[in-house]
Amino acid sequence: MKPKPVTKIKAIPWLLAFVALLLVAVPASSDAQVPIKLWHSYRGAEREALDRLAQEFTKQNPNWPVEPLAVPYDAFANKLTSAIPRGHGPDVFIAAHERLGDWVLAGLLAPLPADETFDAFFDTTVEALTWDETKYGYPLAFKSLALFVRDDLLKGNAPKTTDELIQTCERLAKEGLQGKSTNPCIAWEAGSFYHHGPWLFGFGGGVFDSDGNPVLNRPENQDSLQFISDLTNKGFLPQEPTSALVTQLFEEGHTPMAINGPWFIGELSPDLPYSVHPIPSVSKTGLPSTPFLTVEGALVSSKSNNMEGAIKLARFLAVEGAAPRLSVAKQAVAYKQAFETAEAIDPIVKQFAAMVESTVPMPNVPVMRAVWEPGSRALRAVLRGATTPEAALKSADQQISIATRPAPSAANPMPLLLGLAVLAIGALIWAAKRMRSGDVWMQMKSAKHAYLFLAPAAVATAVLVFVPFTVGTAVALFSHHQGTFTYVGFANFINILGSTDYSITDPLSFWFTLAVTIMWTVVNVFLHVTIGVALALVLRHPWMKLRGIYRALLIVPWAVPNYITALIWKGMFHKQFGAINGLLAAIGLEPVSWFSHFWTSFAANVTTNTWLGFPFMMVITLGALQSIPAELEEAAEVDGASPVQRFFAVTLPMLKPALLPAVILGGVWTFNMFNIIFLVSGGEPDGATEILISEAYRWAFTRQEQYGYAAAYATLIFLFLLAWSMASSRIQRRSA
Amino acid sequence: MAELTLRGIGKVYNKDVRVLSGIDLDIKDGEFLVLVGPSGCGKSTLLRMIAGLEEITEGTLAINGKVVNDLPPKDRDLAMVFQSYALYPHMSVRQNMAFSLKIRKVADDEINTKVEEAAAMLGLDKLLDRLPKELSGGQRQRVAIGRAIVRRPQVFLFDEPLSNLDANLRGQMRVELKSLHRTLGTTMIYVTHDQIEAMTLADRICVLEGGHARQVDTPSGLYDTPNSRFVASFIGSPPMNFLETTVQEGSLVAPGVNLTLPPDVGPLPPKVLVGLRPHELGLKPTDGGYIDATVDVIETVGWDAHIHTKVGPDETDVLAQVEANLIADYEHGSPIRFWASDGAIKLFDPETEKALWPKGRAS
Repeated sequence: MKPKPVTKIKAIPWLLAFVALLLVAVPASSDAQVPIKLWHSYRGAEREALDRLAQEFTKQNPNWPVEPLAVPYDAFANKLTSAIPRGHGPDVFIAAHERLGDWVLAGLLAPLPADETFDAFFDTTVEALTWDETKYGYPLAFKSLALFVRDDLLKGNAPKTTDELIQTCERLAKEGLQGKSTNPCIAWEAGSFYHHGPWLFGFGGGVFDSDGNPVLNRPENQDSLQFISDLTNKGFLPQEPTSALVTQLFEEGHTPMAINGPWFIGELSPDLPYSVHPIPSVSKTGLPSTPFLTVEGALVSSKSNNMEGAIKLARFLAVEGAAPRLSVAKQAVAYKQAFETAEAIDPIVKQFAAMVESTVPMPNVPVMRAVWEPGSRALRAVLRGATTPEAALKSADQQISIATRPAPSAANPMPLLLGLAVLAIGALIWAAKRMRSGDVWMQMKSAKHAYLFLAPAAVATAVLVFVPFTVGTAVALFSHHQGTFTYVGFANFINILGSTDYSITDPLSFWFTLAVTIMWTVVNVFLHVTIGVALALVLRHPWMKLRGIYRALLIVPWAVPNYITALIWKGMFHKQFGAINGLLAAIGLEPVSWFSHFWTSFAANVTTNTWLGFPFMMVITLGALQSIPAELEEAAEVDGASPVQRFFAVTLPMLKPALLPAVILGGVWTFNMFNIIFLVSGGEPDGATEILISEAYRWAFTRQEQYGYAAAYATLIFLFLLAWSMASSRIQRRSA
Repeated sequence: MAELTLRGIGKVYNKDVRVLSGIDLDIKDGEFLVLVGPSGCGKSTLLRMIAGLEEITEGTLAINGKVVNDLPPKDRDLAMVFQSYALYPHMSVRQNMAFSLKIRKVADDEINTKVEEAAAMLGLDKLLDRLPKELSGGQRQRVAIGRAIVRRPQVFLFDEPLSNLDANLRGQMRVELKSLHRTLGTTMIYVTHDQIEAMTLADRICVLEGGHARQVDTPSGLYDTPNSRFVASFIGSPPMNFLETTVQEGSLVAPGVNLTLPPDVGPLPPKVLVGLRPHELGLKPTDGGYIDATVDVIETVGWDAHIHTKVGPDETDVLAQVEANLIADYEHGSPIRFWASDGAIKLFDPETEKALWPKGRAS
């Protein structure tokens, strides 16, 4: 009997059943299930706790599954401001409160129902998330500063006032700590305006005046600056205290006291004996030294299409989620009851919670963000003794006003668009003419396969180079303010080139920075070439048997990522603990305060960049030297030339064809060497060692996102380098 | 006045690579001495050691009686012309020639005089402002020579200067070099692998092989009385033919070979290597004896014909050079009988390969 063709016939009913199931199931789920997108930048234990809370919420609310997404911290704020208005943003996100004002004004946040839920949180945390008397976030956790004390090193009670602090420091200076009487007795990032908060408020000062305008220059703030300056001069506070230095000094017991936040716990060894106390109050005023408070909240996007679910999730995370976050993730949670119900509470966290009511929420007004950089600058200037507190604060106020200046008035884009249209039409006509002339079209047709091969690369270049370039240049014609771009024509360029905000000799003016950048480039390239060529000449001699090893060692600077190099050199140039000053002291010279003066700071940058740059020149020269026929130099030797004469008369002219392109390239790269300037000197002192590219960075990312202004800077850099390349290629052609 | 004395000169690289050993040479003032030999024989190394560009590992070099082993090149008052001319590419002809004088801080007008003099001697006066890349090979070579002349050194050193030129130009330059030597009268030491250059230019030739000096003699001395098989085969073109023969009562015999042994030859070993140059084999009967051969290939070179043949059961190659019109009837495979010119044969010891007869001066 023939077997029936089973498969074909029986498949159809199964298929129909499957399709029917899909049609029923999918709409069913899409109707009921509305996922809630949750964005955060947690890592480690905090992230674990959050994920578990998300799963818990999803279990309780199966129609509203939570989809958490971890976003890297640095990109977080920018991603939010760009994604939410366009509808691809999250429904709920966890962020610090400092940008609340910005976001509310940009219309990104949904107001929360003002019910009694908020009474369950610490008052200061709720205050942080309030704008114009409306609540915009449920407080999750908070961070502030406290006094950390090494119990094994500090005998007696922790100082409660600044007078007690100074007495303790004087006592330690006399007795010596670990056999060294020269150690500082307390450390914190004194150059950071955030860390300076306790002293600012302790001396009765503040940031804003009664009208809400930022005014830093007032007697109380000057007193606070004088205080830390005195501490540094007495040696009680270390010089140039970076975060890494503070951790090292406290951990290794060189300094028995430190001021830091709860994140410090994660950086110290778990068995280190220390305790946490309120920061000493200021004896002169009798006021407590209240630090700034940072609050992390769960905020709801105004564009969420599941407002009900989003608000419920945000509330859930803050209230029900408090206890797990407190015990597992060791967050200092804002929900008061958690401290009674949670299982294992870290005693340090408890101490921070005890101090929360005596903190001042960091102002969440947009203008606050323009205060940090100038404020920190003023601190650093005073700490290195370059200026008086009054002068420093005055300069800070000036910088704040420039950073918060109103945008240039909107201009009419019509003239530009008309101009571009005319150009475009002209270009099209010209192209059409050329095509018509037969030759070009025929050529293109016969080579059409070649164009096909070129197409992928051309597309890639267009997308990765031309499009960003065009967009970037276009942005220079706009002004960016709180999320909106306004066309302002060439106003940015006029501002920059006309130096309207600063005098030409001010370090923040374009021309000053241009001069510094040119000097930076010339000095560096000169040193790179000289050292590179000299070493190449030394290495090519046959009597250097260990040639291979030397070559490898000299290439190492090139191979190490340059930001690591920059950070290592920065450490070496540290005024108090750096290796360079240690060397100078060892041979009996005065230690140099490298970053306090322009020339020494410039020299530090140049040293680092030269260390990085000479291997490139050396390798190019070594290659070029191989191509010089030995007979040429022998002829010169027989002719009677000494080695020096041989070099200048014969070798160098033959190296020129190879060196010239290297010099041109090196010049361009050095001109834009952001890493070294940013990481080594950081622009110190007072932005004098900034180069154009790092200035552009600051305009874009630290001064209220003035993207248009920064783009104008970048365009000017491009034009300058374009002129440089054209000039040097002309020199190259002439010498070839 | 420039006499050079080389005693026991040797060169070793890296303690284990020996390039030259035991070179003894006396070069007279005004002599044109050629160092010739196959590739790798050490002639360029020897020249460079004289110049001071290579260290002398063994032996002494003395110029006019003064040992100069440790003297740097610029103090030896020598000028060198390189194979690749080694002209400074970024300098004009004038500047190239003036370079050495400028280094020695000679006055400008004196430099100009000397440069123009040398340029006139070499026919370069119209080319003084050109760059090397704008010159032909021959012109570049002349500039290289001019650069050397300008300094009026006591010795000229030439390192295969004509190797990079084409055959015609080479012939031309040879003549020019010879007349230059006559004009200047300076001692010249010349390295080449081309034995024709050696034969035409040299007052004396030093034949080098494997790092040793095999024979130092005048061109005719080397040609007529080579002291070894190597020198005999190296000098003369086309090269000498060699046949193994047995001495048998006044004749030298081998299968198909019966050559007359010249009188007063002296004691000989039972077996002897016979050397005959191609033009010493003819088709007319002589008293020198004959060789029976089979024609392999005939090359006609204008007036002459080179007949490549095979002799005996071993098929030894023998080349003869005769007038072209005489061999019209011969072709591949034809038998042919050559007659050796009277007294032309040379005799060598088959083992030591040293010359047995005729003997010249001690080499």
